[in-house]
Amino acid sequence: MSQIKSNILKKENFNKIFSVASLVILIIFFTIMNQSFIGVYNIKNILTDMSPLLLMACGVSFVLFLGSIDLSMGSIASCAAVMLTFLLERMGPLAYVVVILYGLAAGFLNGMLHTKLKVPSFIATLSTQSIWQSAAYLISGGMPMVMIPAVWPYVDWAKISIGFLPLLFLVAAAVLAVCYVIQKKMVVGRTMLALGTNERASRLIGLEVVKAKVVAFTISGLLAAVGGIFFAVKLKSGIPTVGEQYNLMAIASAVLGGVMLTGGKGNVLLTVLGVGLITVIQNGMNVIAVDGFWQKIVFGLLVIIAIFMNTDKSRRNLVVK
Amino acid sequence: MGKEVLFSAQNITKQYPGTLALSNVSLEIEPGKVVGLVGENGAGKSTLLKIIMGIEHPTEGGMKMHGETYHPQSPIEANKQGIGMVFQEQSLIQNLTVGQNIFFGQEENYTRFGILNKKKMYEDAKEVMNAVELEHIRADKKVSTLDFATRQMVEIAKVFHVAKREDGKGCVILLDEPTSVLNEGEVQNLFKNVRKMTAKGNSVVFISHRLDEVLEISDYIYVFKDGKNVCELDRKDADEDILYEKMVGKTASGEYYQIHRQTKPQAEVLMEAKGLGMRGYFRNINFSLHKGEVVGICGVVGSGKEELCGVICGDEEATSGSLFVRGKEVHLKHPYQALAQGILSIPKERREESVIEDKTIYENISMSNYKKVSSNGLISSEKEKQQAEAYLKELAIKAPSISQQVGFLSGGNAQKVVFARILASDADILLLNHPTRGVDIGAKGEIYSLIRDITAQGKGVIVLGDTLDECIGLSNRLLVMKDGEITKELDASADHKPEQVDIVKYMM
Amino acid sequence: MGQMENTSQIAKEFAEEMEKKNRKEKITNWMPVGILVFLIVMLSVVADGFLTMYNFRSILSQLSILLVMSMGLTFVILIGGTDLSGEGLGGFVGAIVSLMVLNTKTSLDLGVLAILIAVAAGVAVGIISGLIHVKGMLPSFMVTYAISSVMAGFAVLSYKGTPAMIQDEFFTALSQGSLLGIPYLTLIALVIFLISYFLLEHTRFGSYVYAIGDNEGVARNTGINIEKVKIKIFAWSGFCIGVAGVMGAIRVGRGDVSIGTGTVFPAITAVVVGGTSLSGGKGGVLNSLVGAFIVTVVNNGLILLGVSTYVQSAVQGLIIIAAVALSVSKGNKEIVK
Repeated sequence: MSQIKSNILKKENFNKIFSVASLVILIIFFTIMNQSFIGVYNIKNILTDMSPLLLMACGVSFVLFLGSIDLSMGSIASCAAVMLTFLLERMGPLAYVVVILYGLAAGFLNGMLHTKLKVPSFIATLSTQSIWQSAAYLISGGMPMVMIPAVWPYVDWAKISIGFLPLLFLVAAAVLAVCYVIQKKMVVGRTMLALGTNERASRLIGLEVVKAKVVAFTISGLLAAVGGIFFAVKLKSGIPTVGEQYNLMAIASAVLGGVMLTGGKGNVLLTVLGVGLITVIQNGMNVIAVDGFWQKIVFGLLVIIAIFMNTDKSRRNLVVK
Repeated sequence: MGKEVLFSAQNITKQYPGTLALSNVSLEIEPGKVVGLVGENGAGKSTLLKIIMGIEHPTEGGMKMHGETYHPQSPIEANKQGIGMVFQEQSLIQNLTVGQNIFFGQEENYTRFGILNKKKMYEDAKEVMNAVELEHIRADKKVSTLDFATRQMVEIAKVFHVAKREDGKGCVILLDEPTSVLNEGEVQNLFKNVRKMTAKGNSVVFISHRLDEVLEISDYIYVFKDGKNVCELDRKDADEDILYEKMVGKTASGEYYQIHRQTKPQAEVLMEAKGLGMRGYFRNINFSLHKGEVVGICGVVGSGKEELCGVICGDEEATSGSLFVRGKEVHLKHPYQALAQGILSIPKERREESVIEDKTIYENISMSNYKKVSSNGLISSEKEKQQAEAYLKELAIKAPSISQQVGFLSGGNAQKVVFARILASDADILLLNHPTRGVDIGAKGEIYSLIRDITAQGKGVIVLGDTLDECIGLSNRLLVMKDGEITKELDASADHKPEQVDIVKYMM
Repeated sequence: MGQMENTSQIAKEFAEEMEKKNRKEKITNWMPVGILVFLIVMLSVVADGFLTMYNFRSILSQLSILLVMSMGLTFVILIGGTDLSGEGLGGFVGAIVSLMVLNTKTSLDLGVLAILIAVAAGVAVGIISGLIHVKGMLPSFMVTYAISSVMAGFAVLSYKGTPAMIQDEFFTALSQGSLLGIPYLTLIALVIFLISYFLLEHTRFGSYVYAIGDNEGVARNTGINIEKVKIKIFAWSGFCIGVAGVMGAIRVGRGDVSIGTGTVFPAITAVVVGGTSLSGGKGGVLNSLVGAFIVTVVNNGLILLGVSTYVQSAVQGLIIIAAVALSVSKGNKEIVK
């Protein structure tokens, strides 16, 4: 019995070990390639770059706990970025509130479509993805929007850093901590993990399954929008496709941190491993000047490898669709 | 002996982790005979059939077909050896035609370069259908357009066709609850076909919970109980009462169910059903549950007792009537709403319905009442663990630690964890659906004792017993259900326990 | 013996419920056709220029790539899976076919052989997706989502910088010509549709597709090599994506990765709106044909009504949600991931 247990423990830890090991190796590799990689300037860069991805990975983790998926995060982020750029000129800092409310609403909508209309999550979020993408194009007219200097004071907070820790990163870290509390200490978080393993039992045990699902999607939508805000303030512009590739990266980060696509297992804190790995790859590629399309290839492969390592293949006759 | 045997199984034992599904079962099937198999749910009938079909493999023992060793690795192999089965759940592919279904997996004769010759296939399918007098079913119709009874007949026709030996020797057809969706006329047609099959030297194994049907069609009957084959009866020597008595076995002593500790119900009514109904499953159910009372609900599969249980615990929605909890009418849509009213169930299938196997013991125990282990709205792992430690002791749960995953526990210990959760929930209307299913004898006794403790605290319990005996032994009052209605209400106070046969009368 | 009274009140009620469900199903089965007719009638009234020969031709032309994409996807969705690789893979196939025919970037001039190679590449990637999905026991939508990203990367890698312009006259002829008023590309799509119909309805493979979608356990117990059938399905989907990619390159006249962009979502919409169930086993290519028409007519109508093109995909999003929501069963106990 104990041997079985230790085997399972090992398997579960595999992705985390893989992530840590690759992270270390990559840092060494990129440092050898280019000394400036571990300079203070670049570390700050990496931490800033990590922040939006960290938020999104955190958010999608909750949805993955359910055994569901959220494919709309990328376009919610894009839409949030252009919305913020558009609204700052018109209503000042109040724009932040509107965009955050938008994120909550978009996530809530996903949750309701999924739970009330019983639309499978991947199709529901694929649909809302296209809706928010359209909205982003409509607001921006299909072109990147640049913030006018008048609103710069509202976004300059993004440049603040405490020591070598950028404020953006600190905000993301605080969100991460809150997410950890939700997962471990709140009924709704516990419910997500329970229903991800066994929804039928969770329901009969008396847990509020539907509520937990809606909350998970709402958090995911909210954090995607906050991620979008980060993109906008960082670049001082709203690019209607800025979030596009981050959806896949967020899922990949969560899975690299040990979250299971089949649901019920994972830890939001560890998404930081996956986020770190992905950001380092991205940043490193930029530092050693590799073409952008390689990133698509590398991240695609990384996702497959990560979920491959994270699947329990011992369950025979398991039907995987 | 000297009798001819078509198929035989010798000393079959099937051990699953934690449970012994079949123990030393032997049976013989003579050519041209219909063999009835009866037994309560979980008696081992289905496991035996799965072994015969090659879906499961016996831990010990062997089988013979026409005198030769027979150990199929798959249903296809079983078919080739002349054994076919109609499964309880229909196994037709809905969006294929009748003809495609009949020859499903055997398209070689109708395929050229992967292309199907549907015309030829349907012509042959027509013949197969004619052979079982189902001329009226068209071979080119999609199964999804047929009604359930017709699908069942197609399924049977298919199996009659599929199970064929190349040497033309006799075959064995296994029918697992084939009549549950058929009406009287269709049942008679099925029986006619069964007799036609057997007249040609084939044999049929017939399983049904309708004992009258088993008695009508079978030549001899095997009775199963607790994974054992308890007796073999000739039809002449059997009637429904005898079969039922054999199925449920000897009545256990009052001691076993701790009847001396049975509490007298208090006057206060906890819950009351008035004209409760769920369309297509049960109707017009009236009963009340008092404090400190155990109400047992008896009935065969399909009597509606499971669905009634589902409605009370909020898993299903009632379509008529009303449910009152402590005098107030409630409308339940989800189990958590029932829990808020103090109603909580222990469902039948433990692994699928009442534990989260990959979570720890302490996490499982706190799930139905997080308030108890929280401070300032946040769950405290410390409190969770303390609570679990207490229950571990109180219920004598055997586990290396409270951090053990529930999936690794034995049936009895896992069930005790479920009881710990129920106790921690503070619910006072408990629905116990087969509370001792898959639990070993020792743990059973402890669970009975626990149920007595629960009622002593003034909680009310509704029991759907694993056996009729258990239901009688535990309850203060019994409700007998048949075809979705309560046919009889019986008193079962400690000194006034009814006999099983008296109850069976109202169930059948 | 027999049974004296055999149909209880409850049994009658149960039969009635079942009957009701059957009736409802029959209605939903015809719904897509009803919707298409309704759309055509409505647009004829409100949209100027909808009911013209010219517009009919342009609908047929818009239909072509979508129809081909949805044909492959139908098979995958019929087994309850999804193939999201079309965006990247379609772009990749389009990119490489442009590099292999007479073009502005390379000296290759393989003509029709280029098409064969490019489509074969599509099939190969489909097989790889299928293999990873089946052997690795990973959900198909995730595998193909990732593969899409990988192939989009390879597409850009293949031409680095600016995409190749196609100069082959055969290709330009294909993109513009028509037969009996039907554009060549639409004819190609119709041929693919006919092949799909034949595959699904008249081959053993087709029966197995339905069987796996309806009940994988039964199919396995019948002795069917499920893994092999599934890989074949993804190969077929790869083939359709390949053909669609080539058609895309022919239409735009160059091998840009963006050929694939925005093709998968309409195809899923077409399949689902046509009535093929996302949980598998129910539906077919005829449904997808109707679905593809619905999507095309809606888009065409939106253009005629002067609605921004950005709104089109949002409308598709709404349609797909409505279609799925109407077709799934909604009990509280239903488990949907």
